[in-house]
Parts: sequence; structure tokens; C-alpha cells
Amino acid sequence: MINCGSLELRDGTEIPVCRFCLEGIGNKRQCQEHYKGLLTKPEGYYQCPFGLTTRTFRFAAELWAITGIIAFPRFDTPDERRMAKEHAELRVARKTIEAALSFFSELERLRADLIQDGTKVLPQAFHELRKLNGAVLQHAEREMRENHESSGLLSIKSAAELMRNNFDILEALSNIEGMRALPSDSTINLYDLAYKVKKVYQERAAVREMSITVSGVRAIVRGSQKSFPIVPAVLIENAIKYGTPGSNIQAEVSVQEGAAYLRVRNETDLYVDPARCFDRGARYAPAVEGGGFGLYLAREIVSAHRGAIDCVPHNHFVEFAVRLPLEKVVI
Amino acid sequence: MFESIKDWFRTPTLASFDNALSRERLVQSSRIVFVDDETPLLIKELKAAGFSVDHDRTGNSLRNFDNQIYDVAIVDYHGVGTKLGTSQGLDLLRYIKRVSPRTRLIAYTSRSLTSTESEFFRLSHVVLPKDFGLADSFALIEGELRKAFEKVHLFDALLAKFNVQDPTERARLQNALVKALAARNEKRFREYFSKAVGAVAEKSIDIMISKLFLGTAK
Repeated sequence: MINCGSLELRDGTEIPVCRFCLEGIGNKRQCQEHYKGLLTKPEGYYQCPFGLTTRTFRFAAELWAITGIIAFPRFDTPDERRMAKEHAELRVARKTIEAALSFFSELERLRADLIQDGTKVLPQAFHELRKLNGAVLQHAEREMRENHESSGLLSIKSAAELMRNNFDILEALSNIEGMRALPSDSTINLYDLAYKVKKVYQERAAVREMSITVSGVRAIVRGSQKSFPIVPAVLIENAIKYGTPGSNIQAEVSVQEGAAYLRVRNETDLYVDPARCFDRGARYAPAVEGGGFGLYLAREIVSAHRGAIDCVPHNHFVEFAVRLPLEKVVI
Repeated sequence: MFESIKDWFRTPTLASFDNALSRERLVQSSRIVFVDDETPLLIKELKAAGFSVDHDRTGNSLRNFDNQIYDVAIVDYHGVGTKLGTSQGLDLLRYIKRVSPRTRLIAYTSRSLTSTESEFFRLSHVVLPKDFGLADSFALIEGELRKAFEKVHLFDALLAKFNVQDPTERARLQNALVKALAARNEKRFREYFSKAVGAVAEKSIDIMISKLFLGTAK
């Protein structure tokens, strides 16, 4: 069995991988081109350049192939007859192939059903987790207000707010269309938002001996109070994760020609491709934990707010700049 | 000096009559309904802060909405408004928007909604996630309460309630309202409006107009 995209070989359902195919996939261009060529063809029976028969099928959104000497269909070519004589061990009945295909088809159906069930169950589970986190956050706030603000309570509050940010990110990623449908005519004070995000992440930053400073003007923009805070959260979290330990992260809010700007700047020795860093799944530091979705999501949210986000790498530091239509500046 | 002279001749807008309500006045004058089959801590905290909060566990008793008594409605998605239809919180939100356009609508959920359900977000004025902190929740709710008292919002709601769509009629009513606000004459506007829309002794007119003139009594 062969994955037509990656050319990965596996022992077949009925026959092990033959040495002929194993050698061919690694060395023979005709073999590689045969399987790559199948990617654009409909599922069915095809003859390989050396006379074997390939049956393709789709599973888990990829194209796979079973290759052997299949009694029917016969392509009736000299290569086919020669291979049937020389590699009798590769003979397999068509009935056997169809049974294997039927098995994969049923597996695909079960997989789709499980995914469908998951879409019903997981949002509910997620919702319950968020409510629980909300209870932790609110009780910590109340305790801080009624008794006194201890470092322990501050840490609990901070952790709950970090958790909420992560839930917001996961939710937005799983439902981009829903995110775009959120009401976006609330007023957002960019400076206050950046300051709030700094307070949430400063403990995380302190673990890497980093500091966060917020400066600039109180620029007001219109947007969603639910989705837009994800943007500075992603930028500052990335600055902490990928920035140089012991350095300072700067978040600055400014206005220019009718636009409000939020810039996050941090020192780093990692290279960031400014064109591709917003692609879904793009990662530049495999040693650091991450999924490669934060900047992609930030761009989607900024775009939904009629803005733009750019990455400007410099020597030893990187700056991310978010530009949004300015509502007004509060003195 | 010229600016202030120019101001004399400038026609005031509705927004120019918006007073900066003190927090104390806001708390005293507003009324909130929390429609949720559970009892979140936020309800207790709002009451402790002095807000008038009704906790409606089902959203099935619609009379208060029909009478437009609420400035803000905080509506959960699941388990409420079941008598209105299968879409629950969404059906209730649609109902409140129709019968009480002056009520600011807050969608209260942390649930990720499907594309059909996400109308729940679109119909609301703002979304309040259930896992917001208390301080953030208060800031959001108070923001909506202030908007509930804005003259433009109340005037638009008044016209929506009585289905006044003709632009000329709208302009005439707005002009009458501006003059009445300047003269602080609520009674004059009430009589003018009732005559214009052909509605007499309507409780909903009384509530909405009294909100319009809050803080401007002679």
C-alpha cells in the first residue's frame, strides 16, 4: 500500500511490500511520477510503468494505492505478463482488493461519524470548562476585593485570565465564521487593552526574566470586545515565547493619518519570514511549543476589523504592527 | 468667542442633550433582567452593587418585555425562552428586540455557536462571555446601561416601536423632541408624539419618553 502524496510504503493488506516496488519508489523516477500522477486522476485501476496494477482510493483526505498483480482488470501488456510470471507472489484477487476498499470505506464513514459526534460533544465540554474557569476568576476577584489582595490570589486571577485567553483562541480557531459574525461596534481603547494584556502576561514574562512596557496614546477603535483582545494577547504571548530571555517587550499605541497603530516589539535571534509567518501552521522555532496558529488567527481577526497586520523583522528584534481605523483619541 | 457665538446658532443635535449620568444616578435609574436557568455569581454581585436586577430563570413570562420595563437584558442561549421556539435564547432575543427596541441586548454565553446559531451574537448589541471577570463584566454592563439612556438610541427605539418609517415624519418628530429637550418640556413632547402616532395613554410611550427626559425635568 502506498501513500500517493508522500510516497510512503506500507505492507499491503494481503501482501507485503515487494522488493521491486521498494527499490522503485526510492530510485526509479517512473515509479515516483506514476504515483504523483495519480493524485489528479479519479479513483480506479491504473497500470504502473512496470506492468503492475494500481488501485487508488481516498482515506482520511489522502490518496492511497494498493499495487500488485490483479487478475482483473488485465491490461494485457507484455510488461504485465512478464511481471505475472516473475513475481507470482504479488498476485492478488480482485475480490480481495474490493474487500479491502470496502473496509477502508467503512472506516472512513465511522471516522466522519465520530467527527460529527465530536462537534456536538466538544463544544459543550468546552463551555463547561469555560464556566468553571469563569467561576475561579470571579471568586478570586471577589476574595481580593473583600479581603486583601495577596500574591497568591493575584497568581490565581492571572492564571484564570490566561486560561480564558487560550479558550478564546481555541474557540476562534474552531469557528472562524462565528468569530466574524460577532458584533463589532463596541468601543475599544487600545492602550487600556494593551495594559490589561500586559497585566495578564507579566507573570509569564517574569518566568523568562522579561518585562513588558506599554506606552502611547489612548486610541479608540471600533470592534468586538470578545474577539479583538485575542490580537494583543497573541502578539505578547509570542514575544514572551520567542523573545530573548531577560529582554524587554514594548507595546506601543500611536495614531497616524486617521489610523490607530498597535505595535509590539521584542528582541529575538530567531528568523521570522514576514510574508509567511501569518500562514496557518507556519512555525520558525520547532524547539518552542506552539501550533503555528496564533498569528494566522490574529490576521483573521484584524481583517474582520477592517485593519491590517504586518511583521517587520530587524537585526535582533522583530516588530508586529496592527493598523486599524481610528475612532478618536481620548486625552 | 466666535465659536461660542456660532454655537448659539447651531441647531442642537439629540446627542448634545446626553448628560453624563453619575454612576449613582445610573444605578438608581436602571433596571436589568438576567435571563438564565442558572444563578451566576454576577447576579449577586450586581445586586450587591445596588443595581435593580430581575432574575428570570425561564424567559417564558413575556409581560415585562412587552411593557418595555428593562434597560438592559442579559440573555443566556440554552434553557430559556423555550415556549417561543426551539432556538431558545435566540428566539427570546428576537422577541425582545421586536417588542422592546429600547432594551439593550447582551448575549451571555461562552458557547461556540454554529453559523445558524450565531445570529444570537449578531442580534445582540454586545457579547458578555460567562468567563469574564467581575470587573470586566461590570464595565461591559455599565457601558450598555449608559447607551440605553442615550437620546439617539431611545429616539430610534421609540420610532421603531411605533413603526414610524417616513423620513419626513421622523425629521419632524426629531425636531419636536430637540425643542422639547431644550425647553425641558416632557409633557409637550408626549402630547405631540401621541397625536402624531395616534396612540393615547400607552404605557410604553410613557416609559420611553420619561427615559428620554431623564435628568432634564424643569
